[in-house]
Amino acid sequence: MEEKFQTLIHSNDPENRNKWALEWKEQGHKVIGLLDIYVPEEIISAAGLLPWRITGTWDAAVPRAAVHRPSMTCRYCTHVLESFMNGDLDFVDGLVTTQIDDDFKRLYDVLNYIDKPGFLHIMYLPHTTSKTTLDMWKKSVNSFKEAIETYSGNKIDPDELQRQVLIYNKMRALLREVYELRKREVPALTGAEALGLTSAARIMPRELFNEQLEQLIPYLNERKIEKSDGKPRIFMGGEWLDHPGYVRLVENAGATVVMDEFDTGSQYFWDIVYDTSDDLLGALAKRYMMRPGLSRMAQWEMQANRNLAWMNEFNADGVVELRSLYSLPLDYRYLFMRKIYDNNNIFYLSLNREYHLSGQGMLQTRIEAFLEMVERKYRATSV
Amino acid sequence: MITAGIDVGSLSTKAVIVADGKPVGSGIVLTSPDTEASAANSMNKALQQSGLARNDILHVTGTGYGRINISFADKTTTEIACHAKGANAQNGLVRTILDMGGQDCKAIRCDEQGRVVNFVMNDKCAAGTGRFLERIADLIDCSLEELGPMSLQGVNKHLPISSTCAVFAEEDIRKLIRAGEDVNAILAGAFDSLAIRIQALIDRVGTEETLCFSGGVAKNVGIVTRLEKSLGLKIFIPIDPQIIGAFGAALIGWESMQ
Amino acid sequence: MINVGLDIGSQFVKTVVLKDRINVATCVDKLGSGSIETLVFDNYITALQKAGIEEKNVDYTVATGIGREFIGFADIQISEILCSTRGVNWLPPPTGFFLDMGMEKAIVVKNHDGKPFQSFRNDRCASGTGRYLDIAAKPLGLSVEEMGEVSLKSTKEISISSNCAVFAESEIISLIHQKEKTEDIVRAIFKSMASKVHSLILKMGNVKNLTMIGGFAKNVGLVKAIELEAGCEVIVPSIIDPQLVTALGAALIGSENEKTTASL
Repeated sequence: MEEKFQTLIHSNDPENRNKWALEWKEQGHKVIGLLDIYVPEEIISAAGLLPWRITGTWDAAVPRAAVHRPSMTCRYCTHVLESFMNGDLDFVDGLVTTQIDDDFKRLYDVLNYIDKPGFLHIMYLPHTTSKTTLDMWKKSVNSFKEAIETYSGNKIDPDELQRQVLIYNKMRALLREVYELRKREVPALTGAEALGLTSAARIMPRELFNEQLEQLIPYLNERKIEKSDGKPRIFMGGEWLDHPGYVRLVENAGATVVMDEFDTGSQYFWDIVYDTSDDLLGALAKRYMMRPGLSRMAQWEMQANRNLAWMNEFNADGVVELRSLYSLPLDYRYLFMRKIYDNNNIFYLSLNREYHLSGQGMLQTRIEAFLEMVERKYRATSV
Repeated sequence: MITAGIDVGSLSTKAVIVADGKPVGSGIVLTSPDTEASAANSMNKALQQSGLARNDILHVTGTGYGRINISFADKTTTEIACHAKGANAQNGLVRTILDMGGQDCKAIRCDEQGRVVNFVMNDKCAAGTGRFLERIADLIDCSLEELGPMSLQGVNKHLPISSTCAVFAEEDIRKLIRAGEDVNAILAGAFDSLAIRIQALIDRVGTEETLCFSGGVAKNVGIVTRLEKSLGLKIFIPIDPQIIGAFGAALIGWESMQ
Repeated sequence: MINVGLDIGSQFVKTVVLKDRINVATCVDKLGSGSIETLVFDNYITALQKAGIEEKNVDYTVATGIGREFIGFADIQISEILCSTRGVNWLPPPTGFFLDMGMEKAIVVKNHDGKPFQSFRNDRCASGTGRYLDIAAKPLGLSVEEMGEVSLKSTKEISISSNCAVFAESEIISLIHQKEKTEDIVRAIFKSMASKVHSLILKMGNVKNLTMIGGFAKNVGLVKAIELEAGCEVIVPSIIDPQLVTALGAALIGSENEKTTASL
């Protein structure tokens, strides 16, 4: 069972990553690449396509992308572009993204320019949440649905869409169940393993993932990670973080990562689609936009409250946030969060990082020093 | 109870031996690519100075960049914790520590027992570290010790020197030398922009007196004078600022054995 | 007809003396502290002495390189790109493109009959220029020249993940502490630089072969790394020291000057 678990959580490793997408294609279907957690995936699945989250190249060198993108811009976007340009993503048939920020818009423009992949669609996502902006987003979702229908050549059957919503809700519930096991004094899985799990969900047919995870739940219920004694419990923050090496870095520095607010982690599955009775598309739109989400959404108080609540539930002693270099929304939110965490007497460390695994020596020193501070409080209160 | 602390930095490796909380010997060597050997050599020097033997040492704490390689260390701790402890032990009034070593720059706040309460390290740049000053000294063809006094003699002509990148700052200095500008004035300008960067770092944690300046750069009177001016207070400089980290490491080891 | 080309870089001054467009003497000196014009003049005189030529017999002197504005005794100052292109055009075999890597620059130029047609430079940063090697060499205790030979012994491929020269230095120190071999680290450094050069080459389009000039062209390990990363042939001039090509071009331009030809 441990072997099964390990296989599943290593699905997004570079050597395994493309497997399911390629199998899917062999069966005559198409693969739609995704970057963010706002594109309603159920619609893609309902049209008979595979929604597949794109991990950019984990290499440091991005010479092809450098031709089109300045160096001091979102590194995730640049590494994704590099993968498109060096042929790694030739099998991806289409890409759908929201205009997360100017960097994502620029990436979309460049992909258009180099004509890769074949199908490209960008969705307009408002920055604030209100009834008006929700209506605007619903229109985006509608246009997106039509674009997918045109591309796939099939009109989306409402019953099929309903079925997909149930599948996705099930996936969300299963992942929630696993995350609950991290609340324990000795969590059932490490932070790096949890990231591996969520990454796996996003690159294979969701039914297949559900099947595999469901089989593992009884085993995970009994599982305990090693050597978590006496280690501070840490809540991790950051966006566009898909390299488990970064989470391992924090854990190797002497922490147990019990929870995260990654788009690549908890935020992918946390809220389910509710109230699908008479307006299914509306319910979908609502779920994707209105929940506390990424820093590019102007709902920082909601996000802060969510984090504080999570820290409470998962009994976290401090926050380690690894912000992607040159990714502005999160850099701005950092200033806001610092005040909130200070007011709540929460230890908070926020550092810049590259997209690919880099700078481990310097990061480790700073994280270790932070944990030394947190540890004293941990020892004092854990008696 | 005798313990030792070894601080393997990027430029130099320091060892300090402590007996019941008091320093009894120290040793400094240049860090070679073989860091294990550097650690052993610095330890031997400290043993010689203290007149002790290797098996008199009951506990060794390693710190600094190269701490993972010290095979004979019983425990490792970050240099942040060690500097706070060492500085506070030398002067019990110390609550803020500025440490500028070979590769990085840190500002630390501590409590009355020298335990870290907050810290910040340079995130993006090496401008203002020992390495940077070394390169300037090379460029101007003088020793590190001379840099400070020279910078104080220079009239500030507000020469443009980058304060955001060590490499660019060096290029700027090169160009000014080529243009025949007075070396003292160049150093004055370079140190002014350095002091601004350091002040900005300190501001991120805030200052509580007494502020201690440790690390090799603390020997530079040009930087010290400018910081005292911008902070508006007298800075405490330990007698031997370079060994504070190793001293703190030895003390942390000693405390852990109590 | 005596023409002199002076190339004043950030680290070295290079002089080439041409007699009737034949190279008769060269001189290279490292720049230290002190008046740059004096140093360059001394270098100029030394080169002339080597050629057995008296200063008053020099017809035309062209100064180029970033330090050219300080050379009052030159007849004219001309930009580096014009001089280097002219110099490359004179070298056999003919290639359409060249890479000039100096301490502070890395530039790829498309050459049309001795005139630069298009060029791409390193983007604001030290990474990908000689400066990066200079910074990276320190923790290894090697000179930049030694690094070339050392890298050829490498058997393990490791990666340096930092793009910034300053952070790369920290990373190299970490790699040393992790007991990685010197030759493997040096190869990784070259790979990192080659990748930046690759980016410039890609902007140029389809480049099959490329001449490399500047002092760093003598670095065997770096040249090999560029060939590997960019997938093209890198030709290092053999009939003249690659470091002197720009000074040579400056002298050649001087020889085509009307003032000179008018005196024939």
